[in-house]
Amino acid sequence: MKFKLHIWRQPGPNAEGHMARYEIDDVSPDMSFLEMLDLLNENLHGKGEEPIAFDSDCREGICGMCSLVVNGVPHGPERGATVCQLHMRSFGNNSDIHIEPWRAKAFPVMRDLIVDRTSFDRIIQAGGYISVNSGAAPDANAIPIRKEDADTAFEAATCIGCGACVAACKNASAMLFVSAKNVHLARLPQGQPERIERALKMVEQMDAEGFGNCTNQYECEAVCPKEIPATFIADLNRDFLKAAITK
Amino acid sequence: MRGYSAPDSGRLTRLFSSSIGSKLLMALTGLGLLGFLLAHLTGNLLVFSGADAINEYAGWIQDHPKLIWAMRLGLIGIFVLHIALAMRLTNENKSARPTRYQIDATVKATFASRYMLMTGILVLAYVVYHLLHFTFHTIDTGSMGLKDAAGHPDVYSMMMASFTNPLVSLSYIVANLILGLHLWHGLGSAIQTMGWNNPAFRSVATPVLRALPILIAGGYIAIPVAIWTGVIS
Amino acid sequence: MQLDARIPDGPIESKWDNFRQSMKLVNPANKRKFKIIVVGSGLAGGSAAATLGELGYHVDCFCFQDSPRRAHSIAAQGGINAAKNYQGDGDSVWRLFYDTVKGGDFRSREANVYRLAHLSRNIIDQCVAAGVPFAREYGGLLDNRSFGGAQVSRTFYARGQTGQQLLLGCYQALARQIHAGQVKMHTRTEMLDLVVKDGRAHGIITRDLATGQVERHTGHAVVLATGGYGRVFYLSTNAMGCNVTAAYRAHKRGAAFANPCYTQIHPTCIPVHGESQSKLTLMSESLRNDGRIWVPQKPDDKRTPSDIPENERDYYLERKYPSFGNLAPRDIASRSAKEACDGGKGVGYGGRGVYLDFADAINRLGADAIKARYGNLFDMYQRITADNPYQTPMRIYPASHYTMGGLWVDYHLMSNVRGLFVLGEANFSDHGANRLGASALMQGLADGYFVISDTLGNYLASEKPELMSTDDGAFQAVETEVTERVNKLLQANGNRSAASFHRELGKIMWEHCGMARNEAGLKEALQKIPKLREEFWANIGVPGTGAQLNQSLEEAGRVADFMEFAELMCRDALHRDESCGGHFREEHQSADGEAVRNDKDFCYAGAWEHKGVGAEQELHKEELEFDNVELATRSYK
Repeated sequence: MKFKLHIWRQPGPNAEGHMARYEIDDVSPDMSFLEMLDLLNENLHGKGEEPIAFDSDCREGICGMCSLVVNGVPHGPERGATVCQLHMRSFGNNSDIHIEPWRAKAFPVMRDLIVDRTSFDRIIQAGGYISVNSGAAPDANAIPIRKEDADTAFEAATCIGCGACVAACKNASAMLFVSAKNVHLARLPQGQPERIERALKMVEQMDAEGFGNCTNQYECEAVCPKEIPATFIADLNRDFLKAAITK
Repeated sequence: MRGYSAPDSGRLTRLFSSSIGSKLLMALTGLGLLGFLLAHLTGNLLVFSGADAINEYAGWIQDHPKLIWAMRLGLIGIFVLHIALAMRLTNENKSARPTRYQIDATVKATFASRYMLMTGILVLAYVVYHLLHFTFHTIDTGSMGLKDAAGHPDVYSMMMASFTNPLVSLSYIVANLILGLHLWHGLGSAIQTMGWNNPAFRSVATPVLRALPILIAGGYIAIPVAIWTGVIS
Repeated sequence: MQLDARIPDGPIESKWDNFRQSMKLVNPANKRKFKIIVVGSGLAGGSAAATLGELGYHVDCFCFQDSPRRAHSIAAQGGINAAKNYQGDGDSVWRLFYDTVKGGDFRSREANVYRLAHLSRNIIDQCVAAGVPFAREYGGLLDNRSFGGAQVSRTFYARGQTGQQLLLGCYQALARQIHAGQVKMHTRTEMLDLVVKDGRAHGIITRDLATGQVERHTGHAVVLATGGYGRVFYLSTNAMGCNVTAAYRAHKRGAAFANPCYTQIHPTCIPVHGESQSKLTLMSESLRNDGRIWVPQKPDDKRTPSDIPENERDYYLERKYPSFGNLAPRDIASRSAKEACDGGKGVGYGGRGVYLDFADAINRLGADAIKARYGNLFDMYQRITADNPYQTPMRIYPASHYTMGGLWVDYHLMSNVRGLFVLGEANFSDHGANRLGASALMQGLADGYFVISDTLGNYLASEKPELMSTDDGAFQAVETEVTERVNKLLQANGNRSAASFHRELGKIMWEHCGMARNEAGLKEALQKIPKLREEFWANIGVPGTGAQLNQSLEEAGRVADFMEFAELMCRDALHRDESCGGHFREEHQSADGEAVRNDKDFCYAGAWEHKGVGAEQELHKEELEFDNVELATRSYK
């Protein structure tokens, strides 16, 4: 297969960037999208050019490191998958492919397609945890948890923190990310004591990081590789409002 | 970057300076305006019961100026707040995404949701137009200012005179379609923002939420259509 | 070099308690005076950093990823063992201990394994309290499953994402300590060397991957939790960034590296599709519960699987191991697949694959039942291969998955370099020659949540190490070496990429030091690797500069270390003239292909001392004593 690639190049955080055009052939339909980029980089290396910087690690859709906007859609055209799980057979031969980094004020570009997502870490640091020191735990079966609640908590906890929700949102809102952590912990009995503070602190940190406001378009839900539902945002709203009024 | 600090006072300030709090206010003001739309529609639909019904209603309104002015001021306040919040949130949203994508793609956002700002501005224009028309009588002056035998404003005749003009009717029909679009996304959005969007609530409320914008826009549109087509004459 | 395992006295059940009763404690008010360096933020490093922070130590934690939540522990699918006996099916600490020692083919240290089994119960308590959403039954209690051929149900799981959920629990605990100011997190920062003076670890030299800044970090102790070296094979289930650099640099600074030849090959991975493949994807072993493994009987049979009649198929695991069949242990299943493919019977790209067929199970249970059990795995398979496993058999092939070898540590998890502690996959201690399924997560968390907090405190209280100034000559010297090495890579003006060398090295290792090894092959590899290393330094080209984010430079540095480490691994494999666990020497097998151990000559951990690049390492032996579990031959017939 052959492709015409248009890729965002930016030498550093403060440098100007631009879309550069590359042609690539000898692509097998079984190659993953990132392996196609590996091949392009190998070709660039052969020509003495600097390879394209992009993030990836596990390459099986769980670490959340990969972060490419492909033809305007974070993680590309496949639903419920990260870009590392995307294969070239999903594209028409000889087609144009546009590759851009996540775009958000809170995710500044570091180089080419790599962005800085430490703002997500700071939101979790602000309150996305249950405070229990090592060794202080009661027996694991001491508190039974309704299966339904455990399953919902799990569904929320599958968030891989990739940031596609922010990248897809025209307002660069982080509500889906924050709501996933909120629901994960708020559905568990262990998470109740800090429930109110958690919602408050995470939302305040989210606002401070410069993420936008949710306008309920649910593009986030559509591109989420773990298909986390936007109804979790409603849960976060309720928890936050309750917290803001009572606390 | 601001870190988290819990203020002891100014709970409301804190609430409404947060993103979710601002949106809550947006939702509440929107719902307030929706309530007005419903009340106003109920009155207007009296036109289907004939001249006496609607003129009596208009007369009652004129006879209670204090109440009406209180309501008008409240309404203006809500409306201004709604617009001001929309401007603030829009500005924040624009600055949260300073660089646009070269390729813009939409996966699931609805038409109504994508053009909220646009439909909102058009609704504002419609309100101004409507006020100039029926309240200040500066447009379509030939149809306005009519009085009945008792000297009360003859709203019925004014409506009849205006909406038999196809251009006036058409402008109202289009405006209300746009209003319907704005409500379509706005109402669902308000429910989400207030945190009521859960499966139990949705199973009961979804039909209502979907029907309400259609009923409101449809109700307002029904009046010019009925007059224009001669159903009311 | 002295290897003293410092195993506490007393019967095996009370060794850990005995240690804890006699260990020295750091006064709470004094803990804040100690600065600890933790490298790695996976299950072992993340839990260690969080726990040490909670106790009041000042911790500097480092990871090369953009967030501690991305460590490769996250990719573990199956589950985590714990001797809770919640199912009342006869499990106990002793039984988990016994199974682990036996599973490790009698090449692990009994005392460590017992402690691991003992602590396994606390891990589950800790994780549940931290909000890890393990699978539950309708009554609200925790669910368990049997895993990896265990006879009891002791595996706790969270769908197929157990590693992710455990890591997030750890990451959140770490986040809390970062917020509290107890832990300073250094993301996108790679450790490039260890600072050792007079046999004691004092700090590390790092490179900030965003700015290229080379930095010095000092600490009262250094804790390495940097994972395994599976990427030495290039293709593995490990993440792209997994590397041996931190552990190997510590080795070069004096830490003994034990049993590097013990590597685990996972039998159910998706086969290689072509030269450009960058990594392999593992599918849960649970597939073997219902899938039947076969190859065509005739070599080079190019027919589609549905055209091959039943009597021309070889269900080789069922044939060779009638009682375990398709559930034979990982190493046996892997080796049998290799044998079949070596015999020309392999299917798919390059003849490197065998069928895993669900047709019988679908006929017996219906497609819906199979979907309920394996739906997500089938989807994953279809996404990657474009084949529909409901209609045509899956193709699978073994891939490198976990490495049991690692830096040598004593019972306190301290290496022979004083003040250098090693946790999780990076150390050698608990799995012997082969790791049981669902035990890796257990070990990482036991080390990080429960062991290091006590043993490190004991070290600090009893040895009172000094905090070395970063202006000390030792720091200066090591930083200079690091900078020179980085510059050497940048100034090399060859034209080959690091990836191309890595691929070539991986092929040598997979061919000669992979699933099955023999003397001639290993000697050949030991000839080829130094040549490839020479070629590497002659022909590597690294574009860009060192003062920026430069992924080519990062990769080249890691490959350079693999180039040296591979030789150590082959040396160990060559010296270990026996078959045990994940190390299979073709010279030592029974008539029906079983591994044959040599307990008389090789019942020891082989810890290697670095003697210079290219020079033969010196072997030190820690004799292993089995007082509680009788040395026996594993039999899975």
